[in-house]
Amino acid sequence: MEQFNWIFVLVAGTIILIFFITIVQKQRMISQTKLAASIRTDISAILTGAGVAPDTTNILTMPKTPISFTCDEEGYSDFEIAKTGVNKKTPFDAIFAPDLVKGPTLITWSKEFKMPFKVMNFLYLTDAQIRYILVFNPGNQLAEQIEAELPDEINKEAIIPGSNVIDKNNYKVKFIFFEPVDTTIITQAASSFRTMSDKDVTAIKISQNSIEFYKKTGSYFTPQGAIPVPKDEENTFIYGAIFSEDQTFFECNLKKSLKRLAVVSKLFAYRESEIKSLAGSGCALYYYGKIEELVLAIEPCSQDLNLCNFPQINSIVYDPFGIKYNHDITLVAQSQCPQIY
Amino acid sequence: MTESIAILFIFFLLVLFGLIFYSRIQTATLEREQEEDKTIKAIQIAQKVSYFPELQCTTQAELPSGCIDIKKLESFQEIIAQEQNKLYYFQVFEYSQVHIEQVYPENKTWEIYDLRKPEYIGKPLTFIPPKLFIPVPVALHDPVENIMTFGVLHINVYI
Repeated sequence: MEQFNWIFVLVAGTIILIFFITIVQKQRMISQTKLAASIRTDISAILTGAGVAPDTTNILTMPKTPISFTCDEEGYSDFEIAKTGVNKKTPFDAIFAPDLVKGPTLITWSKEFKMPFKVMNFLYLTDAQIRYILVFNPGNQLAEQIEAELPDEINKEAIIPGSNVIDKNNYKVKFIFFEPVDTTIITQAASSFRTMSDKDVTAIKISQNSIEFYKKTGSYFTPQGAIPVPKDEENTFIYGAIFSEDQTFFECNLKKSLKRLAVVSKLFAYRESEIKSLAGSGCALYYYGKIEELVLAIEPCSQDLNLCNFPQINSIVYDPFGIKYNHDITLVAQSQCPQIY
Repeated sequence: MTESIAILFIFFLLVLFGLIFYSRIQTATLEREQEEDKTIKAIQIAQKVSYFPELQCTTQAELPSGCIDIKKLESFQEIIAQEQNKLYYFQVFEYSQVHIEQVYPENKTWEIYDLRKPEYIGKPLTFIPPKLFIPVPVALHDPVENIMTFGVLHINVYI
C-alpha cells in the first residue's frame, strides 16, 4: 500500500509539474508574441510618420530586440521582430536598411525621391552600432557632399584611400568608396576585419551613374557587379546603396521606386494633357508632352531592370527642353499657366 | 487514497476555473488590442493619403501640405480605375473606401477608391460590419482656375 502511495505521489506530482511547466512556457510565448506585436505596431507607426515627412532624422530608443529587414529578388519585403514570426509586409515603401538592426538605438532618415517631380519618400534605416567608413580623396565634391548630408547621429567616419582601419567591434561595417579609387585598395580594405563574418562586412563603390557592390571573402573584397542608377539631384539612390544590406536589397527597392515612378509619371501625363486642353491657347505651347515620353521610357524599366535606359531617362528629365526645364518655364509664366508638376 | 484523489480533483478543478477566467480576460484584452490596431491602421492610411505625391498640391498652390490638387485627383481617378493599378494601390489602402468631398463653396465628391472584403461584395451596406471612419480636412486647389476651396478627405476602413 505504502509503495502504491509513492507511485501515486510520483505520477500526480509529475502531472502537476508538467501542467505548470506547459502553462509557464505558453505564457512566455504569448508574452513574447505580444511584445513583438506591440513593437511592430510602434515601428510601423514610426515608419509611416518618417515616410511622410521628408528630410527628417529620427533617433528611436527601443527595447533591445533585433529587427530583421527583408527585400528579396522576388520583390517580397517585410520586417520581422526578433524571429518571432511577428512581421509586417512593406510592399509599397522603399526602405533601405541592413538585414538586421539589433538596437537599442534605431536611426531613421527620409528623403524625397524626385524625377524631377516628387515620386515618393525614401526611408533609410540603420543602427548606431553599424559603422560606415567613407573612403575618398580630399576635394572629391560628391563624397564631401554625401558625408556632410549624412545625419551626424550615424556612426560614420571619413578616411583617405589606403588608410589603416582598426576593428572597433561593430556588428556590421560598410565601406563606401568613391571614384576614382584604386581596385587594390578596395580589395585589401577588408583585411582588418578578417575575423568578422563575411556577410557583416560589405563595400560599395560609387560612380556618377552606377553603384558597384562588393562582397567580403576572408580578407578580401570581391566585386559583385555594378548597378546603373538614374540621375537624381538629391543623391537618393546613392544613400539607398549606402544603407542597403547588399545588392539584392538595393535592387529590390530600386524596382519598387521605378514601379512607383511609372505610375506617378502616368498620372502627371494625364494631368498635363488635361491642363493643356483647359488652360487656353496662350498656355498650350508650354506643355511639350515630355512626361508622356518618360512614361514610355520608364514602363518597361519598371518591369525589368535590364530594360532600363537611364541615359535616355536622364535626358528626358534634365536636358534642355526636358521636363525640369519645361516646369521652370511654366514657373515663369505661372500667373497665367498652371505648372506641370 | 480516495481522499487524495478528491483533493487532486478539486485542485485541478480550481486550476481549470482559474484558467478559464484568465483566458476570458486575455481574449477581451486581445480584442481590444485588435481594435486599437485597426484604428492605428486607419490613421496610417489617412496619414499616407494626406501626403500622397499623387494628390498633393504643386508649389503653385503655396500650401503643399494638407492641400490636394484637383487635376491630380481627377488623373488619379483615371489611373486607379485600371485593374493593375488598383491592385498596386491595394498595398496602401487595403480594404477601405476613400473619397474627397468639397464642402465649400459648393458640394462635390470625388470617389478615389472602394474595395470591400470579398465576402461583402454585392451585399447591401447594412450587411457590412461597422467601418472606422476618419475625416481629414483638406484644402483643394484648382490649378487651371488657380482657386482654393475647402474639402474633407474621408477614409473608411472596412473592419
